[in-house]
Amino acid sequence: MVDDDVLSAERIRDPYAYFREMQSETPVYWNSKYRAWFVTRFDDVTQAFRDPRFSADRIAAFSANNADQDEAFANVLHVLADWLVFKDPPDHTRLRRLLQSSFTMKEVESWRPRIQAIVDELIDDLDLEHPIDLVRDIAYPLPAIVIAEMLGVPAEDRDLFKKWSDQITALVFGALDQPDRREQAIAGISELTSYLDELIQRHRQVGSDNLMGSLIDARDENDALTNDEVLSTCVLLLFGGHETTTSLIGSGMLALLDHPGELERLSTSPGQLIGPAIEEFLRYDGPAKVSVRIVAEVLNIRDQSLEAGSRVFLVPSAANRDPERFSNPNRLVLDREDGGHVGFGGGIHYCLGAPLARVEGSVAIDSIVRRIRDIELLDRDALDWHPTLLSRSLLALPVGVGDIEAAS
Amino acid sequence: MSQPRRLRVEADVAMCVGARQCVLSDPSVFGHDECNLVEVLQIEVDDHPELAEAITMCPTGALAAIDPDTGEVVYP
Repeated sequence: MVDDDVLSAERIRDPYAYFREMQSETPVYWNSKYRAWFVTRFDDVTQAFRDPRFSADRIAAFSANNADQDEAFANVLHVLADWLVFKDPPDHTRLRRLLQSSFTMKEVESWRPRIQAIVDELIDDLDLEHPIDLVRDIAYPLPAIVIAEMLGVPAEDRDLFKKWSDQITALVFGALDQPDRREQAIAGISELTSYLDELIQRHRQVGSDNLMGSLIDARDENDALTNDEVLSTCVLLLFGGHETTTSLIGSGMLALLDHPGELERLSTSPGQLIGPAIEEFLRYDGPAKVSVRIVAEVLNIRDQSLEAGSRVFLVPSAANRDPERFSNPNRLVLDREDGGHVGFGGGIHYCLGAPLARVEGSVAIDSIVRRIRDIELLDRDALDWHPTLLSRSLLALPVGVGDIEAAS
Repeated sequence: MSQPRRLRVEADVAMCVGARQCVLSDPSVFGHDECNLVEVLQIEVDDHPELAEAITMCPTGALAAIDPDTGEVVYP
């Protein structure tokens, strides 16, 4: 590779050509700019997700590299370290069990009517006098409202979360172009944690049947979440249940607008197509671009030997378009026969929120294409994405629209 | 006291992502192969609470318990 920069303007707009070249030439590629191995083949990425020799604990290494950290930044790392996404067994096993019971498909499915009502309201509220931005008007507010309601955050406090979420996102998703991202994250985390601390105490006193209540009450035999763990988990859910689903809805709508035949097919189908369509959006242009792992013990992939302690970037964006796994990988086919993807990762860290993302994505995109007539992209060339390493997320999706049908 | 009913356990390996929640919930019924994907160790079992938990906890809905006589999906 001539140039190892994944964050150039061109590759932020379209990372796929770069990953495709890497995948066919050097499927296990040492990128000296990021000092990390890029793993891009579907089979390699799938197996690595399920292989315990790939550790998810990158906070320990990060803390060691930032030994000069001040107290405020240490607090940020302390909150992050309790996130199960950064944990290995046995700590991960314990936390995941306690959380999984609050996040089953059945539990999430019970939220579907409420999610439909929120989407209908967001569409009803569209202001047709002004340009519509599908990210700002629907994809962003929906998951924010849902996760806030699930955790029992009062409606009037929702806007606070946008600010905090944006600040934390910059650090975790590696917005390397923002030199003040560390200070931003410190401010965001400390305000958010003190807010949540109060909210948790309130829920503890009065009891509640929402997700926060079920985290407080979660028991696995005699085990329960500590107060710090409830707090860290709430931060994780608020933040993880938010940005990524916004991205899924935005990218899904863009993929449809780029494939008018598929958009037409979805908007006239009797509802069976939306399930497979969501899986295809996750494959074609899903929110997870790169997933970071640390090699726990020396191992081989293909002809490369990876030393213990080295950093590995598993690349779902590349794996999901691997021509050895998918026919016509660069084309959107809503009901593709060779379906499947690693958009939610795999193994023990398989996305906890996957059932919720699927329901929110289905309800939102299905309602948009059914109710909003004659959607058209205003300026394809002006679209821009968050300049981050790990995620793929549209900043805005301005569209022109025709009539809006009443909710059924 | 009535006999627990017999159930047939089904796993769709194509949907398995190797999250291993079933193995942790009910190791008597669920194991995994060398790729860390689900393997059903007992196809017909007496109904028991760990089985219900294992099937409910699956993040992709790859597991089911069926009444072999009626075809009724008992879990999830």
